[in-house]
Amino acid sequence: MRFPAGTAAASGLALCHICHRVSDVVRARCHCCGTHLHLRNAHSLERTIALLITAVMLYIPANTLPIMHTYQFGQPDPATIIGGVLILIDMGSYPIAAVIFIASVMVPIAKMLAIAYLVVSVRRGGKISAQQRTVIYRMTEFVGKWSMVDVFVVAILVSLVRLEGLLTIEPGLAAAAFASVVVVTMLSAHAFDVRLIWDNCEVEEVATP
Amino acid sequence: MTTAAVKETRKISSIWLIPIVAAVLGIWMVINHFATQGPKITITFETAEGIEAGKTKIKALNVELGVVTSVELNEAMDGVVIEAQLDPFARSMLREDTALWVERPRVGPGGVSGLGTILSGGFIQLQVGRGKEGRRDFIGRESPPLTPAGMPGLRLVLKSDRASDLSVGDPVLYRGFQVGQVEATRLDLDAREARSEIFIDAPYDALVYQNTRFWNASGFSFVASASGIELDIGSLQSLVTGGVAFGLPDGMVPEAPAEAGAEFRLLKSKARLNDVAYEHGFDVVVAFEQSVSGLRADAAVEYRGIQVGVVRRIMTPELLSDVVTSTLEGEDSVSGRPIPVLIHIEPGRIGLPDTEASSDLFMRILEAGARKGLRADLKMGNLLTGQQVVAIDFFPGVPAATLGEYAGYVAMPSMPGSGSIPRQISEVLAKLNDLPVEPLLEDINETVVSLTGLLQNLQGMPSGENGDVLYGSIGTTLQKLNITLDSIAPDSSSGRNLNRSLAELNLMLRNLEDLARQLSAKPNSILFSDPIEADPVPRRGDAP
Repeated sequence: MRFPAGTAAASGLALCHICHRVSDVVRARCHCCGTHLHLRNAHSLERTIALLITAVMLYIPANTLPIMHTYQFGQPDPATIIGGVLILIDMGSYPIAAVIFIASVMVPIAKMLAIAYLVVSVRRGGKISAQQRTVIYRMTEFVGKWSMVDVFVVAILVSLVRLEGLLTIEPGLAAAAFASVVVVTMLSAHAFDVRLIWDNCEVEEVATP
Repeated sequence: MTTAAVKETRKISSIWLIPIVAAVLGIWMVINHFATQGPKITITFETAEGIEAGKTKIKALNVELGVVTSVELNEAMDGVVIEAQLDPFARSMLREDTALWVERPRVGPGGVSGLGTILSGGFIQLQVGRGKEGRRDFIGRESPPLTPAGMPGLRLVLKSDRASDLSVGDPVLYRGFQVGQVEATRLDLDAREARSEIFIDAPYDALVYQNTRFWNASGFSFVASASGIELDIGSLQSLVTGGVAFGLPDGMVPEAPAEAGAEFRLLKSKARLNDVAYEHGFDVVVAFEQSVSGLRADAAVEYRGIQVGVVRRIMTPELLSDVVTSTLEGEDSVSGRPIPVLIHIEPGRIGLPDTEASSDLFMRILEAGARKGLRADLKMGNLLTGQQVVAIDFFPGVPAATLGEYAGYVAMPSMPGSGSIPRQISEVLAKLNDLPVEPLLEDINETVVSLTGLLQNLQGMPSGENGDVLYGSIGTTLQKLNITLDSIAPDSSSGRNLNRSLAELNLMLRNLEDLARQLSAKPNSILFSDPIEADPVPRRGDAP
């Protein structure tokens, strides 16, 4: 395997991914903690793609199935995520509708698209620079934990609204699916080995003072 | 120093198991969803009031079967077509006679129903029928069916003059028990009468025979007839909502059970029950010379108090045309023309079989009876209401007569007279006439003679020797009485003794009075003496 000149890998150095100590890759194990050293995580892209596909598949039931059932006087009233957003818009609660829409619809989609783009650009090389890709990756990681808002809303409502006989809220299958989407996309982002971003960099691009 | 072992990585990572499992699960869910999807049905309604696509449920016995998926107008724009997705288990409920209606709050004669839908919104109620399975297009009902489809029982038709007699939902009662209800009422244009469909639940349908009578049991009936005033108040429910009752007339033998769809006439009240109970009978005209005031249609026709028929009507039109014709012919027609009354005699009332042959037999009896003094008469049936009845009886001493003919009817002779009460008075007078007055007078004469003899004997007795003795002994008795009275006079010795005794008695009584007062104040004083008061002991501080 060839690495661009000027990178650690090219110098025969590898970063321990547990204690972050830079060691000589020939040693195979970390000086400090004894962990196996990898120049690049094995099957990183494969894992990322597999988990991404899982996330996409889970995203379908998360949006088509009802996320919660409102039992009003014993009459079940299922609501999907989009349905809930539409109801909020009807009620005129635009800010809340926007929050839910961004957190539950836009963020997961953006995240999945971002990961997919990173994977493709690493494989084939893209037009944008390695630094821009790094920014995208950082954004993806940062935003990941915020898309659980919808799941939290359901969890709080289920535990708070329990007027037996009058009004009860129960979580639907979509809540589980949606939570899985969030978890799987986070795992997917985590499985992506960031070091791959710099593998197809030109040496000259690395500014060495 | 160990060196890193460079090994070829496996071609395919085990991570691919995750998306595969997710995909398999997803595909299974999709397949499962379509495999377990129930039937789709379409229902047409007049209006979609309370029906909402995606919200309105379809329920049977309050168990959810499915949900309305779309609500659209039909092509003619005069109704709505509703599509609904049902659960798979509802497939067997979609039968030919399955009924569907929108459950809404309803206030009807049967009570208030569907109150729950005020809060929860309407839903479509499904009532499973008993017909063939497989129907998918239904026509929704606007109101719930009163009788579930396929329910065992008997459906009958009642005919009546007024629709107001019965309304949908009214109970059908048998001896006060509800055994069915009125399902529909409509006006039959051809017959110009109300036809009500009633349904009698099994097993009570066995109570309906071909000769069963139905009457209007609208709770309250007030009948003033020759037999008195009758006030009948039914149960509160029938008072409010009315109803129809049925039963057999008194003493009638049940015939074959009624068939489904049989038609019956609805009687106005139970009092009419026995009036039309007999199908065979014949009409007879009786011409009365006396006033017929108080005689009405439906008044009783009695033979010695037993009802044998009813008065149909007073034949005023025939009488009028009769008068007109005879006036034209120049006869003196105005005075004393008898008033014809049409009566209907039913042999079945007196236990004869209710057949045409009995009518003929009865007619022959009338014919033979007329020769022997059988006459029709007017009688006061009820002094309070002034109702009259036609009384048929044998009157002795009337000339033999034959049955006549009037206006196409057989006419039977009537008892001539100017009114029943004057005639009865004359009868009384005749009886007075017939009394054996002369022997009585002779007896009285004899009695007076013997009384005179007795008085003469009394006059003779005190005179003569016997009288002197009697007077002497009376005088002696009086003298002895005088002496006795003198001995107890106040100034005699026994009189003084008596006075003294009385004074002592007086004194004793006064003493006794004191004792009685003491006893009443303290009853135990006769046994216990009064407690002796303790001597006063001086204490320090007391005033000296």
